Amino acid sequence: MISRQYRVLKRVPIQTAKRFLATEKAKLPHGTAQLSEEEKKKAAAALAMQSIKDIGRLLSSSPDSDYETQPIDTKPIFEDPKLFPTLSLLHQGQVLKELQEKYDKKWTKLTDEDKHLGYYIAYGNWGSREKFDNWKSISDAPLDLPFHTPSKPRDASPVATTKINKLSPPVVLSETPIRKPQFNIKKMDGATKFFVYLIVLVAMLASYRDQHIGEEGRPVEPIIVDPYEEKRLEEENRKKQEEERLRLEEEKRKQRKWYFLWIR
Amino acid sequence: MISSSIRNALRAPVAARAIVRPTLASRPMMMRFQRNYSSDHHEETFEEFTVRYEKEFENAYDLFEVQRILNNCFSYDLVPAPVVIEKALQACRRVNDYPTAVRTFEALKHKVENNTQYEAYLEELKDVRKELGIDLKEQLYADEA
Repeated sequence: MISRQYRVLKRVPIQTAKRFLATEKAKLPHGTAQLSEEEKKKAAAALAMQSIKDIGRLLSSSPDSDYETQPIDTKPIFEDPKLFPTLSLLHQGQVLKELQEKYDKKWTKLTDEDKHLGYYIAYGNWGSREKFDNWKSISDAPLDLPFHTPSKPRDASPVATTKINKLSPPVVLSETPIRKPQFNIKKMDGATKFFVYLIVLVAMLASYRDQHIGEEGRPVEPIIVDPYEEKRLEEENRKKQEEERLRLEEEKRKQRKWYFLWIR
Repeated sequence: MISSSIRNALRAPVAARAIVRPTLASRPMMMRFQRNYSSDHHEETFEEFTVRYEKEFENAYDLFEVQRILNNCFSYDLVPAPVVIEKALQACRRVNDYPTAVRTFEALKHKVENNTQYEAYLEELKDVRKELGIDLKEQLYADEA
């Protein structure tokens, strides 16, 4: 039995074999060391099927294409919103759609999970808000409010005629400390800088070569001579010349008229 | 045929604007230069301000508009009246965006000078908050504190 199973296992990838052994072990009731005959057959069939699938997956060019394009189970995302940024754009869209469907209905029916996920997606520290680490904090003010904190309203109990003015100086949201690096278009990261300089260098070298070396520096073109072809051409030429000579002679001969005899 | 294409051409900029829906803080330049309704007005009274923003929230047709108006109405030297906040919450409900409703209360909390004023606002807005089912951030993340 073991030898037969081993023979089957030899033909399938190691991962599959491990998976099979693990599942089979889990299936065994405590204290049962042996499988019944029917179970063995079933296991062998399952293993064969799995190995065919594995081989198919190995041959397929995109092994995870199914996962990438098929809808996912969104429950874990609702349970842990921090998984949301790790999803592909397509799956993020799926989660957003599900969430929006819930938001379109009565908000009183929303669960805490729906609320947490929505708040995290909108204001959590991911994507362009990656550095907003205090997003969850209750006491700290969010970092992108359109007013200075701590806020000092001019009048705590204004009446209808109280004058109201824009804050001075105004809060420019692209110039808050947290947003400034994001909007700083002058600063470049190291890799980009390296490639920009590299391109400039290559362009300069190319321009120098164009002006000072020109086509002199081009590689020598090997000219291949075919002696047989040359011989053939020579022969052809010789034949042509011979034909021409014969033609001329013939023409000359034809130019003689019958009365030449009399004149002579 | 020709008239429809002309109409489409005229509509195009509006459509393009509607598609762009940046977050609360991502397009401040646009906000500053494009539609800053209130700058260059005569000095506005609190009542005029309230009426203007009530109207703006009523007319807000998408999330970007709601967030833009929220940003604008909080960038004054007075705290917006409860009625403006109520209109803002209703606008959030209209565009079906729950997080912005929560964020409105969060902004209000930091805009007022002290907790007593915040409590007063909460008391004033208790009914609409209950009706719409909006939680405060303090409630949502109570276990994080």
